Amino acid sequence: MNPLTNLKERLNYLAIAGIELINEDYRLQQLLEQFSTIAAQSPILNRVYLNLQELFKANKEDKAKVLLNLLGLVNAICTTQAQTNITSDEVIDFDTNTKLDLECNVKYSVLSPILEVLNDKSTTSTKVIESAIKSTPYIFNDYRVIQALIKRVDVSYTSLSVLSDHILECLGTNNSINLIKQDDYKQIIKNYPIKQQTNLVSMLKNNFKYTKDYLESDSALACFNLIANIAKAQENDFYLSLLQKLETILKKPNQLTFACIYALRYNEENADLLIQLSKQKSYKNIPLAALSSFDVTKYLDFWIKQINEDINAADFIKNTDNSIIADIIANAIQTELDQIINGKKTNHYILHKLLNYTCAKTSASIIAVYQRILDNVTILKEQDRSLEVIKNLNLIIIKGLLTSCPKSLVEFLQALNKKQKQALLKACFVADLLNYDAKTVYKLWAEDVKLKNKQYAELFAGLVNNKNGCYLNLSMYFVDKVITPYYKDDFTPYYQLEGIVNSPYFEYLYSHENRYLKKFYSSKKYDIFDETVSRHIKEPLDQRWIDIFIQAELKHILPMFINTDDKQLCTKIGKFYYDQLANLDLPYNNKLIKNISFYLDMMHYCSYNKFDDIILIICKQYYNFDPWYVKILLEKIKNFVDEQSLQKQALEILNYYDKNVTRNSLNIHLKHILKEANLIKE
Amino acid sequence: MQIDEQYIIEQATNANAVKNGKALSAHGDFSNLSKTADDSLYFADCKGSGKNPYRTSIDFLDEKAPICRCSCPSRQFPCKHAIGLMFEILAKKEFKIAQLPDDIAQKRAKIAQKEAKKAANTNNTEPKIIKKTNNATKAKKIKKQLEGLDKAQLLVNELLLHGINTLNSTSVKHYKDLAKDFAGYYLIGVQNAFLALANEIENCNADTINYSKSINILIVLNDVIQKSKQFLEHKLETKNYELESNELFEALGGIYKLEDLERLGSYKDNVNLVQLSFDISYDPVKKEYIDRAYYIDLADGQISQTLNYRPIKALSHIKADDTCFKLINVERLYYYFGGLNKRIRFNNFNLHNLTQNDYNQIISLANNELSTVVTSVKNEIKKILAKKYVAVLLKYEKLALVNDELVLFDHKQNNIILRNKLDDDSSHYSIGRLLSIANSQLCVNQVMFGLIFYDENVNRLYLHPYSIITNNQIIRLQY
Repeated sequence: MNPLTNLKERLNYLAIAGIELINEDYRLQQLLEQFSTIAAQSPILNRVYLNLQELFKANKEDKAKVLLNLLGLVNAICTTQAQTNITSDEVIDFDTNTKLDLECNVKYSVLSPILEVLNDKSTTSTKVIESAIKSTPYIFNDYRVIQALIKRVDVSYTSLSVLSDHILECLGTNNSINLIKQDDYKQIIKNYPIKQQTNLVSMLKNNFKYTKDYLESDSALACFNLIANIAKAQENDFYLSLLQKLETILKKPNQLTFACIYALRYNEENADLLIQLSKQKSYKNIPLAALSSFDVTKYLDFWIKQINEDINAADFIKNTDNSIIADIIANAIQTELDQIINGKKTNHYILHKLLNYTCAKTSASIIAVYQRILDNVTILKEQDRSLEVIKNLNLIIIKGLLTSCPKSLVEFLQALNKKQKQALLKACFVADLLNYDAKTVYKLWAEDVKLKNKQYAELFAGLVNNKNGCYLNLSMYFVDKVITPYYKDDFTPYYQLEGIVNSPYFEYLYSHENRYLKKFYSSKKYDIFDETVSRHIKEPLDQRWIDIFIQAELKHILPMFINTDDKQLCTKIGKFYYDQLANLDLPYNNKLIKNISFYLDMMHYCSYNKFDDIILIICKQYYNFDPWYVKILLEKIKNFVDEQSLQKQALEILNYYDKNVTRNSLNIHLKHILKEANLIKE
Repeated sequence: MQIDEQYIIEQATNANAVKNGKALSAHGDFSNLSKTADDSLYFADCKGSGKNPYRTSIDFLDEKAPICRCSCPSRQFPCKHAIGLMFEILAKKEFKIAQLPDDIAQKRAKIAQKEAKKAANTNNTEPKIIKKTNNATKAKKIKKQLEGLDKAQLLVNELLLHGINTLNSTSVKHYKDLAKDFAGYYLIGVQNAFLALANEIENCNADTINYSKSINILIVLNDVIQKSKQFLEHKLETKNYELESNELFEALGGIYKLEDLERLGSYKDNVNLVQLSFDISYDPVKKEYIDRAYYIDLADGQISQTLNYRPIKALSHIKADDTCFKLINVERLYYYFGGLNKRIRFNNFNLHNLTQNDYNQIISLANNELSTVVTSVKNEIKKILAKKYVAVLLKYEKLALVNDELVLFDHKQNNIILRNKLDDDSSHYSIGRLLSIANSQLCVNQVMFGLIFYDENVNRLYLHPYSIITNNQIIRLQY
């Protein structure tokens, strides 16, 4: 070791342990001797030697000063000897072909709060980021924010991680950022445009590390999914090289491996590789999922072989209508039905599964399967009282109708007897909906709906509203078995579906914690087949349905039909809610205010602005209506009426309480609350 | 009056003021929105916690420096009500045309008088009367300082005689109390050194590596004590009590005012500066934030820094500095004393957009050879009183990975490892940022601005990158 470094170490030790121990430090004494021999080599070493001598000789009062002077000198010399160069044969150059167009024009004052939130792993609130999206969206072009977003992405499903993921995907795919704006249901979701970042994939790839720990982590999976969602086919080479590396580095395939294989679906040249990979059991069905993205008819032999080996492979090509495949599936179902009908099986699980594979298949064998199920409803009901198989069949047929509306399916439905039509009521209705104009559909079905009960009406209401209805009631089934088997959640974000975005009903459900919507908001996004659905739903609504639904008092269904461009319709529906409020049949419990608020919202949304006395009317319907509720409701309509009108109503309510409410304390309480809330003035 | 959110952010002292002001505006707390016909004054009433609303006004007579006035008791300037009023203007709310209020008119008149007086003084060729301080007072102060330095020496002696590791939590507290006494000896710098030492030793209990920081503090303190004694004794002997240009003055805790620097001739006129980097750090010993910006002088390539100190007790009153993307043309630039990267200050300046020529100029001012730079850095940091890092501007041929380290190579293939500086907090880490954009043309033939720092544990110099300068932008790895 360098004598100077040694000396420095000993002197530091002396400072820590105490100078009074200097005479016991034999190593320091040895160094003194060593320096005496090397002092002559240079003036500076000589100076060190002299100082060291002085340290031993100095009296107690001066020792500290001498020690620190000597340490200062030694440090200075060491500094001048400090190294910079590193030598190695292993120099890895960066790929400099990428032209990175970076933006970093955001000031510290704007950038710092955002980075603080993104870099603090304990933060999960999205408020700061959402505020930034609304007021300073340009910051998302700054590469430092992008980098922090990349670091933030993981699969823990905190709302901040999900939002970060969403922002990155929007940046990469040139989409606007969607945010749910809860305070104004007229704009449930606002699109915040941002500039596309062409360098994002490059930055994501730079973030990727090829260590075992990283490749096994959730961060790697999240990062890879972003790359795949943004770049799709463009990064095929990356997916292939990563797959090779994963096979080498990891002992067994993990979620990242599956994601990598699945990403090969973007390029059809990978078909042969995927066929090879499908032979390996460790990759499960992922290669099949990827292969199903390609034209099935090109690889028909492969699929037939797969389905013959394992019928469940049909799940991946559900939307393919090939007669050979259909026949194989039909045979499998017939075998299952044999067992069920003969009483050898009572569990319908496999039957359900197989039925799902029949969707959009139009061969005679499939129709025969449907017919056989209908012919044996009694037996099926003995085994399952709720007849889930019929419910499932309804939906499968509807799905098939909406995918391609095959003639054979329509004819099958039209040929059913009355009892069987009742079993497949929904499917029959959808068939008519797609094949006849709106007036004819009304003519065929309206009377029936009028006569039946409220649940019946709800069922049709959901279906008859072309855009929203089908989605609302059926979407969760449509996307039930999406071809991404390694994801836990099988639902697509609700707000992505066409027609939903401006629906106050969505907002209502969301604010009332509809569990499906909560799940949608937090689930991951991926491809679905909605293009086929929207293609078929074209007919505008026959307005007469509204009257039926108003008559049936479908309070929570009607919002779906509100079209703010149609004043007449809005007035009709608005008046319905006004009438509901004027004749409330709601119990006086903790849900009362929620429901009343909903009606008020709907009135406002329909621009039916008869708010001048509505709260008073509500108060009059309940005995000793709670003053606190009065305050809440008046504040609710604060944004719907002018201040004068609001105050007038508040005073009228106060007068009413004075005259009619017997409990004096209630009046006083009401006055106090209204004053505090500035709803009445002195 | 046209303003945007960025203008409001620049006027506010901190982000909280902006947030609170925005909330006031959004809540509809303003009433009687009025303005003068010439658009130069905006005023309104704002609801406060009291019975009567506050009267807030913004005088845009000088648009760059609006005067905000408010009857609220807040000492923050501008207060949240003034910021809120700016948001009202931004939201294009309706302001009624009104007469200029008398009180504002009077204030304007006073300001105009002052400006006239100032202008008259500037044109006045008679020499300024410099207030003379009593020499006896100065001598007394120096003697007091010398007394304090002797006391400091005794403390250091005592500490090292028994060893730093004899300090425990009780004695550290005692040291902190003793350190506070040095304020009475006009030795704030010495006080801060002892407080820093106490702070380090408190952190040492779990981790012995930090003893090296404590020892370094003592080395510097010892040097300051020795040199200051000599310096002050010389001043007493020669009876020279005038302020001198000496870094010991600041080391002892002295603060140079701008007029001091002007008197000492430490300034330069008409300087063009470009900000290369901006960052904020926190000093837990002095309990203050430090806004630091590095600038390059386009004339001679000198790299200097501005330092804006904001004690946490006064955070709401002192405006934070911020990033600047423009060329700053400074009327008069003042320099503090020290080695490389001197501290600078300036008041009057104009901003211009950076042009291609400016970027080219910066690139031309960068050092080509790493070895030359390293030599000058070593010469600087070996000085005991100097910081152990130097800001440099360096041209590089490429960046590459060597043994998993990011390394910069100059055209002669001399290289230096890039690393985050040891004692910086994570908000200063830039290696990760650099790696995220490394795969690009940024890795070849560009200019890097960063701090070369010394790691005594391994006796090596490293470079902490702060920015990359290309021919059309400064890519900030900090802020």
